[in-house]
This record gives sequence, C-alpha cells and structure tokens, in this order.
Amino acid sequence: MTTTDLSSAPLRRRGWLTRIWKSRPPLVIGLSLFWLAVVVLMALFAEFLAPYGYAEQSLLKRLQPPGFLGGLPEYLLGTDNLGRDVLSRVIYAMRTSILIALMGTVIGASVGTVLGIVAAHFRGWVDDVIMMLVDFQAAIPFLIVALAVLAFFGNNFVLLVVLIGLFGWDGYARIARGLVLSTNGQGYAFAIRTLGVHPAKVYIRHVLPNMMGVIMVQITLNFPEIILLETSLSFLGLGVQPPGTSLGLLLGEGRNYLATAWWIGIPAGVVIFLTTLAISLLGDWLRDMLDPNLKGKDA
Amino acid sequence: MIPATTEGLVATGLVQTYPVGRRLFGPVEHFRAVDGASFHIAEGETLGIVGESGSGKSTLGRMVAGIEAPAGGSISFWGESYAPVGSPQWRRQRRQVQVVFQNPAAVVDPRWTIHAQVREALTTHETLARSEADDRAQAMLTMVGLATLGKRLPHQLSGGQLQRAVIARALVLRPRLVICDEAVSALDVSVQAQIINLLLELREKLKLSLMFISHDLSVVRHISHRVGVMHAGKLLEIGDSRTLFEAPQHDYSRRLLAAIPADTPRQRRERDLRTFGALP
Repeated sequence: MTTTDLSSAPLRRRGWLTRIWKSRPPLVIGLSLFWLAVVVLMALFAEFLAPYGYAEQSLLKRLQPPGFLGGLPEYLLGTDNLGRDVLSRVIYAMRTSILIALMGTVIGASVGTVLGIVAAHFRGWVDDVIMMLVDFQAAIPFLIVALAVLAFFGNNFVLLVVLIGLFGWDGYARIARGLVLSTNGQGYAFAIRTLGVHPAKVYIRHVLPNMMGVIMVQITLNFPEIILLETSLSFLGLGVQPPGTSLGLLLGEGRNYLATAWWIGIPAGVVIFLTTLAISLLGDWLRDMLDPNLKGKDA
Repeated sequence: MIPATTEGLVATGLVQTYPVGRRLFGPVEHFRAVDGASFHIAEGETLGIVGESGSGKSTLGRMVAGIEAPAGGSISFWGESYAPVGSPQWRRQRRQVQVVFQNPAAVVDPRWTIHAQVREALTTHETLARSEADDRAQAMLTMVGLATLGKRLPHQLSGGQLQRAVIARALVLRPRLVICDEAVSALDVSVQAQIINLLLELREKLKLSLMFISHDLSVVRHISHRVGVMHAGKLLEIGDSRTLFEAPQHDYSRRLLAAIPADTPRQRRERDLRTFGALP
C-alpha cells in the first residue's frame, strides 16, 4: 500500500452485516449459527414442531426405543417411562432452558457491567463495597446458595430466573471495572471528558461500545455455565418442576434408565453439549469481528 | 513582576501534593509534586516548561489545564477561576482550555472515525445542525492537513496523522490556551518537526496561548517565547527563551542546558567552558 492510494481512497464504512458476510465465516461458525438457529426456532415454535404435548402420556407404549432403531415409527426418539414422546419433550425443554438462560444472562450481564462501571467511576468506598461483594460471590459456591434460597422460599419461576441471573455477575463486574479504570486513567475516556463531554455520555457513547467485544466473549463463556446451572438445579429437583420440562430435568429423569433406556437422557445431553459448544465457538469468532483494530485488515 | 491582567493566565503559588501512603496509626504522608510555582502566560504567548522526568512539569500542566485542582495557590484564567472539577461549569470551561497529550493512540476512541470525534467535541459545546457541524469539523481537519482522512478509524492513521487529529479535536473548540504535554515526544524527528510547524502556524492563525511541556530542550527553545525550568517541583527560573538558553542564571538550568548535544565538538568545548568554568 502506498501513501497516495491511502489518501485518495478513504475507506467506506460498510454495515456490520455486510462486513460479517464479506469476512467469509469459517465452516464451524456456519454450523454453530445453523444449530443455534434450529434451537431458537424450535424454542419459538415448539407447539407446531412437537408431534405430541410434552406431558401427553400413553402408558401402553412406555419405554419404546427410537423409531429408527426398531421402535414405533410415530415416536422418532422413542418414549420415556410414562410413555411420553422424547422428541416433543426435548423440544419443549429447549424452550424452557433457553428462556431461563437467556433472561439469566441478560440480568447477570447488565447488573455486573453497571456495578463494574459504578465501582470504577466513583472509586473510594463504593468501589470497596462492590469489590467485596464480588469476592463474596467468588468465594461462595453458588449452587449451595441457590439450593438454600430455593429450599427456603419455595420454588417459583421468577425466583429461579433471578437467582440464575445473579450467577456470574461478578465476572462482568470485574471486567467492566478493569476496562473503565484503564480508559479513565490516561485513556480516551479521560481525554474525552477533558473536552467537556458529560461522563454519562462518555460511558454510553464510548466506553460501553468499546467494552461490548469483551462482554460478548464473557457472555459466551457465561451462557453455557448458566445452562449447566439450570440443568443442575433441575436435575436436583429444585429447578423447573414436573410436569414442566427442561433439559436438566430430562437428564435427571433419564439417569435412572441410562442402562436400559438410554434414549430418554441422551438427546437432552446432546442438545446441551451442542448448544454450549456452538455458543462458545461463536463468541470466540464474534470477538474478532467486534475488534475495531482488526477491521479492514482482512480485505 | 506578575502583571495584574485579565488577558491571559496567571498562576500564583501553585502547590500539588499526592499521598504516598501512611504508617500504621501515623499521619498520611504527602509528596509535593509541585511546590509553589508562580508564572503567567500572556495572550498569544508560548510558555515552555522544561525539566527532567519527575520534576513536576506534567502535574503543573494538569493544574493549569484545570484537570486537577491544586492543593494550594490559585489560577486566574482570563480573570476567571476554575470551577470544581467535573461540575457543569467546569465542563463549559473546557472549551477555553485544551490539552494535547503525549500518546495520541491512547486518547482517541478506537471505534469512531476521527471526523466524528472532532465533531463530537464541537457539538458538546454548541447546538448545531448536523451539516454545519460536519462542515466545521471537516474545515478543522483540513486546517491540520487531514482533509481526505476524516473517514478513517484511528488505527488506520500513522502516529503523526493521529496527533494532528488530536490537535484538530482540541482546536475545533477555539480554546484560548492549549497545553501540550510532551505532545511530540512519542513521534519520530521528522514528524516532530511537522507537528511543531503546524502548532506554530495554528498559533498565529488562531491567536493561541500555548504551554509547551517537554523534556526535549531544543524543541522547547524553538517554539517558546519564554521558558521555565522545573526541578523537584520548583520552578527554578523563568525567562525569555533566548536569554535563558544563552545565559541561564540558575546552576541547575546551566547543567540541564549543557545536556543539549552540541552541533560541533568545538561548540561543545566552548559551552562547557562557559558552563563549568573548566573542562571536566
């Protein structure tokens, strides 16, 4: 590249969709996106896609193996110990689990990021208190706290979502605080404030968008953990309650039949595995896409 | 000695201290980064500040810019005093006094085009139609020689180009005083010269007062009308640039100036003789 062609051809700003398209996502990313799209569609349109209701029993057709393995052809993934269609239950379970994990992630990411920014902005005792809470969170095994709270207050959906949301906020808080501290010290946030821009505007316009890449990666690390947390709670019987269904509950139900009727638990396990893997891969790739220092270097 | 004027900046007895830790149950100990500095900068004048690392010149610059409130002393800025740091009035005052920092890559938002960043500075202080803000930001970029590069992101510019962008962002506000804190120290020599010439040109065009802080004595000599020498938080000596560089009064200034590389060995011998009385 010569200087002349640099100055005569100022770079055009393309939309982010075009940019992502032009960067030719690798095959794994395509597959991850495809899988996540399938999961989301199944979660959204469970009523239309599931061949049976998730609690619909037919006790005469209990413990049928999957249709393609010599079972009844109308039950593609077989039936469980109460004669419920495994495929339908997995589809409905995706809806519950994805919904809980999504709301939980949004709660955790917002609470953590805001607290991290607040800590770094005010410093002093505010910072001390927030960081102490972060240390508490990191020191206490969260599953035990969740079990205690759910056992004490009884189980309800809102409480479960809030609890799951509070899992992992400390990671966001730590990251946000560190990033704000570095840009406030001698960095651009400090410099832009010396122009007379209001601090709130500096955070919203400059600091937050610059943080999104890192937060996004943290979300992709946190999201699978949240799915696993929901799974563990449901597995232990303190999460989603029967006859409702979630991936963890399915896994828990399937555990007793793992040796004799493996098809009850395995599909839920496969869905959990594929979903968490896809999100992790996607997050890694997104981080590169969102890094402005890598923009325009791929062309 | 210090003129009682409203045209310019008058600093009187500026002190800045930083806590450096405390002993258990003992009092907090303070380090005096700046220890009683008094000077003035007249309208359109350039005051150079030289001194070794840690002499307090950056701290002095930050107080003069109003970024840090001094622990003692006072500043009169064209007759006004600075509002408390962070207050709405303080934010309005930012328009009058701007800082150009050492490392341009660290002080710009990596996601915004430089044109957008210049425009943001402008629209923070004035309510403008989008097209007018765009035009004025573009005019400022043209003035610093970046007419065609406004749509670039910071990482697509060289260090010198980026420092021009930072200067444009500061000057689009039409400040009265600009503090350049080691503004060219991170750039290579040929780019330094371009930036210095740009500052000289803009100083005339916009009638700027400058405070030029640097450890690079020859750069300071080139750009400043008057120069102050700092050492260990004290402003040892302040005087006309020419006089100070040719006949420094203070012993420390003499030793500091002797550190400028001479053009020829002969010049160096003569100057050493003048400085130290005898060859070492």
